[in-house]
Amino acid sequence: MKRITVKRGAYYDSVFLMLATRGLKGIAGVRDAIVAMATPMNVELLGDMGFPSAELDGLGPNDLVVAVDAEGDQAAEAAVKEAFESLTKKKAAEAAGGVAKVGSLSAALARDPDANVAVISVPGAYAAREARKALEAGLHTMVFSDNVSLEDEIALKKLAVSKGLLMMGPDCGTAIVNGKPLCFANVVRRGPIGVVAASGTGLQETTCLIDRYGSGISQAIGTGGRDMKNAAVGGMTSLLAIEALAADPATRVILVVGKPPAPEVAAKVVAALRASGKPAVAYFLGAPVPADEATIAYASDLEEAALLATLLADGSNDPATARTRIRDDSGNDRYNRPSKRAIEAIAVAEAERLGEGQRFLRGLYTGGTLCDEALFLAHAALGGVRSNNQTDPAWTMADPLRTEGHAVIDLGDDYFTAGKPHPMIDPAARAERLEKEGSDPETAVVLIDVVLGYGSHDDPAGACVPAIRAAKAAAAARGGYLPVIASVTGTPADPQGYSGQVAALEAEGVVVMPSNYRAALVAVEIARIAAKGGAR
Amino acid sequence: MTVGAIGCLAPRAPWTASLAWVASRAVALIHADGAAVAIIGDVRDMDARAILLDGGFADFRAAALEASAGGGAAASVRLDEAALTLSAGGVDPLAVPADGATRWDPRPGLAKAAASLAADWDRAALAAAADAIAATVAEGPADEVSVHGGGPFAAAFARLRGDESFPANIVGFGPGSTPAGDDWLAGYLAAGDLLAGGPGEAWPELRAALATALGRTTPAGRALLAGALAGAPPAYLADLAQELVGAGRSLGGTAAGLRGAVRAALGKGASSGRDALAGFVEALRHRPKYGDAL
Repeated sequence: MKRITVKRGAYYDSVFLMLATRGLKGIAGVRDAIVAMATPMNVELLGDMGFPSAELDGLGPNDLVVAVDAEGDQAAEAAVKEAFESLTKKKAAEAAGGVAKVGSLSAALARDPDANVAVISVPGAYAAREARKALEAGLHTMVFSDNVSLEDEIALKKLAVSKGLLMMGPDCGTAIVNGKPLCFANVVRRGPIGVVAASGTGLQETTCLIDRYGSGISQAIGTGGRDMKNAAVGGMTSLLAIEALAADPATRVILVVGKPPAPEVAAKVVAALRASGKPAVAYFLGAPVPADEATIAYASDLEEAALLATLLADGSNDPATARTRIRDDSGNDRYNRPSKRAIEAIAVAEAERLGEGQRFLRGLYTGGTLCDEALFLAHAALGGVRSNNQTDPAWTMADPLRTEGHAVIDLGDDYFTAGKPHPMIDPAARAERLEKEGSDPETAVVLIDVVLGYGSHDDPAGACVPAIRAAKAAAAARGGYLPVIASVTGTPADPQGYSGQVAALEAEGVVVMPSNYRAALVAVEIARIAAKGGAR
Repeated sequence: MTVGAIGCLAPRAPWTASLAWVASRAVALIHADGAAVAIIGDVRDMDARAILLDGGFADFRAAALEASAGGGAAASVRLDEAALTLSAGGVDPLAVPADGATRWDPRPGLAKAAASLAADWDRAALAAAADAIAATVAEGPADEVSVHGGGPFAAAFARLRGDESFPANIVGFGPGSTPAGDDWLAGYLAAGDLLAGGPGEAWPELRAALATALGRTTPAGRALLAGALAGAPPAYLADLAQELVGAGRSLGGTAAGLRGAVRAALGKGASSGRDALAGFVEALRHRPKYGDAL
């Protein structure tokens, strides 16, 4: 069934047209879709593809054409409706500056009675009350606010479960629902992988890597950090989310990401994954990695979690097969991830320029989960790393403002953000700390994250540049050299653009690795070499 | 907020153009000559018909969004000697001083780069440079929508390549407000000029064919191709050409700069940078079809 619809004299930017095309291709029953300007060449192409030529007559380069090839009338109708609704909504959103202002939840519902999700972002003391209103109105609820009591969280989640609603949060920073990024989230392609995450930047990193590996996200559901970790909360949202993804025909693989769960919650989560009947991947930061099961792959880092989910979604029927497909017949990594040898070579090249006395790793993170991933890796490899996120009290920073030895710091922690914007929104505090660490003659390598997507600063890489220059200049003035290692969590469709952000960092001599995990490996290797007195 | 620079091929003031769309990094106008004019806030987004604001682009963009509230048809921008003024019914006009604006023109820099390349490079070095650029492009994610993936545009592009009239036959071809074919041609001409001795020098027959085909593409495509035909490609392609020459024939030197320029190009538009890089690499790899000045 081939359908053509036209909007005359309509102009949209290229990124929007690409996203509209991707959106149409994600609709069930749509074989192919083209959203393009009706230039003679494009009209000719559509004619060659068998689209009705009568409807293409008289069109010109200033007209927008939406062409849908669907399995039947119904799918074609749905796609055309979706295309024109998204075009209309863009204009309406632009006209309203993207936001319709209302004074209350009930006013918002009166304005849009079909809404089925509420995002609550008010001071913590009021968040539970607003969340309860939303749940009682039958809305799935995402609570961005933190400082909600454990008792309130348990009560809200019990209410949500009783109504079959998802209560995401509190302190839930990220979700992607029906292709729409909520709060801090990235623009990823839609696809067969459903994500349940008890960590914000963990969800962002895995969904962005899945996008990069060529797959996509059906739904990504944030749960809030306590959902799995606290036995009293008992994983109520996680379990309901797994159940929902199990029932969702668009989800072929389920990925669970989180901090170490309470043992009884972990058992329930694993049981729910087994019962889902779908292949699954689980990754719990800092927890021991169990052996794979028949349908559940256990990953050892965020990158591997994303990769295994992609491979399971791409036709590997079980974890063992998925793992064999990471490499091609020649033994090369199918996803061009730098090998251990390549990482060592990068580290040696950076470390050989270090000066006397440069010994320590300094990780300066805006994303909490990314910080934890680097921290756990570095702590194990370097024999002790201080952090404000440390689970080992012996290595917890007494004063997060003062660095001593190896340190990996979460600058998005409440300690730093009280009364100030989160560093993903305003990277000034990280830049300041970066410059400070650069002035420390014992700093051998600085490790940073750059997180893109909605909610984040509009140029997080650019915001680091003056501090990187100053830190590198300070090291050079002492006769040394300061390696700066980074990863960029984002996609090409993010508002900040992925490649431009990488380029801005690389232009300053920053080594940009394709994931936080690989960046941490490079930084740790440099610190290891530095501890032995440098590559020389 | 002031007008900092005006592209070398921007229509001569005074003129008034209608507001067409508002993107994250540009406010696009359609001039009476049928080609777009972009108002931007970052010199890295500059092109031959763009107008660069020094400071305050976010405010201008927000005002443009508000001005387009009525559907955009009534909103317009006027440029005269003194100011760039955004107007729409029911909204206070926003005037940005323009009397101190400089002229942006990448051609003198490109001419120097071309002279340096002619003196120092051979075919093997060019092929190696093309490989280096292609390798950096390959590190990025696959793109299933544009002319590089496995979709209908890619299949049609492969067919068009086999046609005798290629690449003149790809004007206005492909997805995007600037069709992918136009981006490809902009990259192809930029690299061709680099090899042929300077801006506007490569492939006169192709240029003549393209000049007569501008009506077959969108306003944004027309603006892009007008610049490329005049030897004044967008800033990101000019930077790429200069970084290529700066890297030296051994691709040592500032090879990191070349990689950075490729990465920056990949960040342009939905697939514009990737499409332009494909054309750029094509010109480096193959003997020019319309003459060989190297």
